Amino acid sequence: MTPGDRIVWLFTTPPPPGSNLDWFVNGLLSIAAEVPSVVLELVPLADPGPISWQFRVEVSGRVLSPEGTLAARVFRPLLARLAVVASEETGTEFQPYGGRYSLTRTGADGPHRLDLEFTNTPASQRLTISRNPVVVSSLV
Amino acid sequence: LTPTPPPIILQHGTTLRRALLIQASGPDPFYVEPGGSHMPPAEAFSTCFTDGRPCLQGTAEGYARGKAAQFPTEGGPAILELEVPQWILDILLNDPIMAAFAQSGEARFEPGFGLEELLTEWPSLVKRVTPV
Repeated sequence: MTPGDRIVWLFTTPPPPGSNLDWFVNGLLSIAAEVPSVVLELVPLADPGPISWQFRVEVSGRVLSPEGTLAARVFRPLLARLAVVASEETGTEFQPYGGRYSLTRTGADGPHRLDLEFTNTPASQRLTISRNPVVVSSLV
Repeated sequence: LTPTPPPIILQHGTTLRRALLIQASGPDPFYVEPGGSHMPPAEAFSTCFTDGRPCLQGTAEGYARGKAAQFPTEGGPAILELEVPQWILDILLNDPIMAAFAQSGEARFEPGFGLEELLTEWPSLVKRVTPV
């Protein structure tokens, strides 16, 4: 499976019994460490009637739209959990409704810096993860 | 007779104005935040367990402070605490996604997943609003 297909699988498959939101967060971050960029967002559909959402995945320019409702149900709680994880790992302020964080994760080719930018409000639910080299500071 | 299990105490963090509104009328899945009619509705009512399990998505107090900072004219942060019958929680726990949320410390009521039952029982639930 491609990284995009793995993200779609992650967001269309119920988690194993006993697991929590970290099942989704850790799975997503490990895939994101393998590709240059990942964008996840909920896009409101223009259908008449009650608002419904389309979950949209973009991995290095390839756009995928998983079927089913699981992704849309999971995404906002996942963003909330991601904000807590990032806040704790970076020692910075918890920003539940949107912000930027940088995390370090190790992919198959070594450690990477994952730059996260997200919004998690009723008007916008979007997450961008960009992979960048880890900045190594040296002491002189 | 099988004794009725004790209710589960949950907390919802928000602004004082909204906490009092929810206390009186129940959570409104069609509530639209101030800021424009283009805003989609909330669609879910999110609460934290108070039984000591970690709140992996943040505490009710943290959300109350965040919401109060976003809407500074709504009376400051507050926590709405409610006692929910176990049978309504069981509706959530029988769904694999809601069960994963519960493992993360969140009891999340959505249409089709406990929200209708919660609203039906709302008038008889014990509820408290506490500014924080």
